[in-house]
Amino acid sequence: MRNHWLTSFLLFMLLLTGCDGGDSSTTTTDQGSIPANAIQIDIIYAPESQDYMPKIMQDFNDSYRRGINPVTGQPLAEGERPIFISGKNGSSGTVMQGIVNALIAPSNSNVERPVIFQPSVSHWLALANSLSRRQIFNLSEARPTALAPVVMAIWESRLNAIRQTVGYDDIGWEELLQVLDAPNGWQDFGIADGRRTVFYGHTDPFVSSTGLSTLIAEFYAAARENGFTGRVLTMDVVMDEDVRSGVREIEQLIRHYSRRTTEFKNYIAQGPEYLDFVALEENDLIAINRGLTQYQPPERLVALYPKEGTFWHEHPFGIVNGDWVTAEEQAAARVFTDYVLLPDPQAYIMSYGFRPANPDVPLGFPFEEQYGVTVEGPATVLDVPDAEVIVAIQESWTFVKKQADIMLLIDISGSMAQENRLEQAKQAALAFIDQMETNNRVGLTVFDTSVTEVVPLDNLERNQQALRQAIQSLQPQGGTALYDATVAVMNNIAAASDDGDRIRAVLVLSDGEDTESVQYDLLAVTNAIRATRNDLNPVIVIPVAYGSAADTRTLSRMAEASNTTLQSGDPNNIQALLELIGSYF
Amino acid sequence: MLRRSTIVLILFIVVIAGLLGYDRLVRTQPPLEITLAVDPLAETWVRGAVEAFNASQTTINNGTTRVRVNVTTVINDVRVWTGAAGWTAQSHPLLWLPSSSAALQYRPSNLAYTPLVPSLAQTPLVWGGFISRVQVITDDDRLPLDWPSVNAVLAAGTWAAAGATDVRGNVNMALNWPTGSMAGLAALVSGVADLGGSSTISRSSLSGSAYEAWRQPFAAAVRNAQRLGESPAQAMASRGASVADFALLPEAQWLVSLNELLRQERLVFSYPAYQVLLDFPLALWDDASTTDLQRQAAAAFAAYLAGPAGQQAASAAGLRPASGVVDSSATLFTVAAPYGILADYVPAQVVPLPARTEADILLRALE
Repeated sequence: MRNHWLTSFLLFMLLLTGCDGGDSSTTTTDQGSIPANAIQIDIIYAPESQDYMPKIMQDFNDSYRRGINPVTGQPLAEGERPIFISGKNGSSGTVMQGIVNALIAPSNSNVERPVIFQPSVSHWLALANSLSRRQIFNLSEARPTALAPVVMAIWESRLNAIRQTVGYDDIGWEELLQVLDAPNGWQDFGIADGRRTVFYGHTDPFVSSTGLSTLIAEFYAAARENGFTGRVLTMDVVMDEDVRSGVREIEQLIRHYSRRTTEFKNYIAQGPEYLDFVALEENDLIAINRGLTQYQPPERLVALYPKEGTFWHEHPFGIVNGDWVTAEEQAAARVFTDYVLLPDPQAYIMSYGFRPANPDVPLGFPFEEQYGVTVEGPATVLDVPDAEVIVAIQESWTFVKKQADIMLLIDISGSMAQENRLEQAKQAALAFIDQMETNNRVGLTVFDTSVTEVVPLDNLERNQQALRQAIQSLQPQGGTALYDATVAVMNNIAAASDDGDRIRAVLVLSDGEDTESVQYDLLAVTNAIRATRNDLNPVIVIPVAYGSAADTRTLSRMAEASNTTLQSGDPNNIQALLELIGSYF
Repeated sequence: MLRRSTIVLILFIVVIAGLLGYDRLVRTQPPLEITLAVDPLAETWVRGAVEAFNASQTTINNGTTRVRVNVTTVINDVRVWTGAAGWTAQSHPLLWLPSSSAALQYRPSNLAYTPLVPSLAQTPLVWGGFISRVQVITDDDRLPLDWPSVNAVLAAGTWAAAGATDVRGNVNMALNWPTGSMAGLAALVSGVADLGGSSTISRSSLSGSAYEAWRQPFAAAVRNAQRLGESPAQAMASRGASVADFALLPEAQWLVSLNELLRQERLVFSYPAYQVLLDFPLALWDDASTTDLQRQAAAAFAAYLAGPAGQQAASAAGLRPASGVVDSSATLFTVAAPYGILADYVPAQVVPLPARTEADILLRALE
């Protein structure tokens, strides 16, 4: 009996000592599943982070699914909750406004409520605080996660020409403005067959970080031209009419604008014939030189780090202080930030052309001379103005940006009656007029068998009503003289004085199937388009195709001749189409 | 009938099994979890120490209760004492390890924290700069790298105006941003103390023409530092002198980034004459809601941090012990010695952080 008791006791003790006190918090390991009890956080990141962020999030989530803390590499401790991150990309300016709206205008159509906001540059975090009049972001606590200076991406032959002419290597805005002011343009800088006009481009400062940083840099350049010797732009300087005139003068170099750098990379990659230099993040320049864009660049683009200074786009993780974010979610956001800054994710980010924010990761591929960058990067930075001053700079854009002359060329032939094509084109044209700034000049020409100028080019402020009425009254009839109409409009615009201060464009809304042209063929059209390429302001032709059977080959040829791309007139995509077209101007 | 030796063996096994079983029984019980908030400057040290502490299965209450520390919040001290953390009597961490005991003094009265340990580690402020810049500031080592020589280049505004021939651009100084870090406030205090030639900061120190003449060029030179993240040293290591030419930062921050900084350019370190020490106290939320077990658990963790393992972890993170000198095996200090870091550094003049009123004025100095 006593033996039984002893044996039972020993067995009990041995069983007890064999118990595992560990706990398990994950119930499923399916791909994409959210671990049980996970803290879920959302991030909205800059568009350029789209290349790397999904994999980083995936690796982070996978680690938690396996029960491993991805930062420490250790199994989850007792009571430690896994974290699950999900995200999407968004243009910094749009998302910033969405977060501000969530606080002050929650019924607005653009409302965003992320836990982490990763804009390209911290300007947007400061703007969010300023516009909302709250400390949505602790600027000094937003940790940089991927570094990219804003550079002037310039063709190597152009940069060498400037250096040889001025006799030194240290180039910046000062020398770029000398090229602008040169009576014979590039020919005065030793490029015998060079254009007399310098073509430059940047993105929309309301949407794009690069556009905003570039506009601030232009204000610095113009201010210094006007004798400003201070460190940082103030409201007085930004409102000074002479300074604004200087910025306007720089903006005259613009061939056309672009909403985001995503499209601009492809524009510049077409070669020096199209653009001489553009403002880009360094990673975009590397991508072009690595041949990762639609076009293969004909020569090397090099990064000009302006001697006056530039801005670092530090891709900070701004953890939101909003009523939709709990302290626990903020702590989880910090864990994700810690993870992104680990050497492996940083090395992965670097492979896409961003400099690592964690200095433990030495600079390596693709930071090589063959990709147009220097290991050293910029030598100096510009001071970031106060948020109120940045807002004033943004708002000045309406006044300093280059205005446009745009002829709407609408196909009203009988074939446009099919599939409701003309109605779709009319809707797009009306929406386009709605979103254009009124100091642009817009006109309307229509064509069927013949070509008719319905509303002559004039300031939208004056002819907006006439345009609307004319567009609304359009009816389909007759054949399609697309070629004759396009050449006629091209000739009219080209014959008009090219005073250098306006972007010139033709927006062709058509199904593209030419049936009636008697004077010109497609070759003549593309020749007419190409003939303006060396004008002070080449005429940009943007075709929009309507209908499932649209002659996209013809319209694409026209787009190619103008270095643009054919757009689809799909009515479900009208807003995206308008944004894309509108961002040219 | 069992033999005597068999009975002894069985009893031995029973005792051992009993002990093991009891231990397992305790270990399988849910531990008493205590929550901890820590300043980012102490994060690396404390997280490492917490991991080791939790792994040690420390028990309290006569060995019947296991303790587990959970770092729930990493938060800048300033956010706590300015109320931005949103801590209340109902929602707060049990333990708070700020970078400075001044943060405890400044805290709102509704935060019932009392010091458990007055100081668990220390770090002094250190000037550090890329040598090409330091040579200009110190006139090729003829002047010490400290506020008087720094103020001269800050007033010049640009390196050209400061007499540099090989360095161009604006003079950019870095510090931890004061509204986000006690280290930044400490740097401001050091500057004001040097300006007034006194280790006491009063309200009169923070006004008048001399103060403004110092503050304005200083504010201009540190303007970009707000966007460098939590560690300006790390930003200088990744982006070089383009973001800051020199800085006044906690020694620990320099030490953990030193190797990476040296990839940019050789550095020079120097201690300011008017020194402000960050002293890393540990505070316990101590009111009627705090249980005896929580107090015991907090004491056990405090003892661990103050003990040899906790202190060794502190020096591995670039911090100095709360008392005594840096251990000779502390690698970070040894590596940094050629650049001016002194393992046996004793400040000649320690400036205490001022009262809350003066601190509030200083926080607005850079607006």
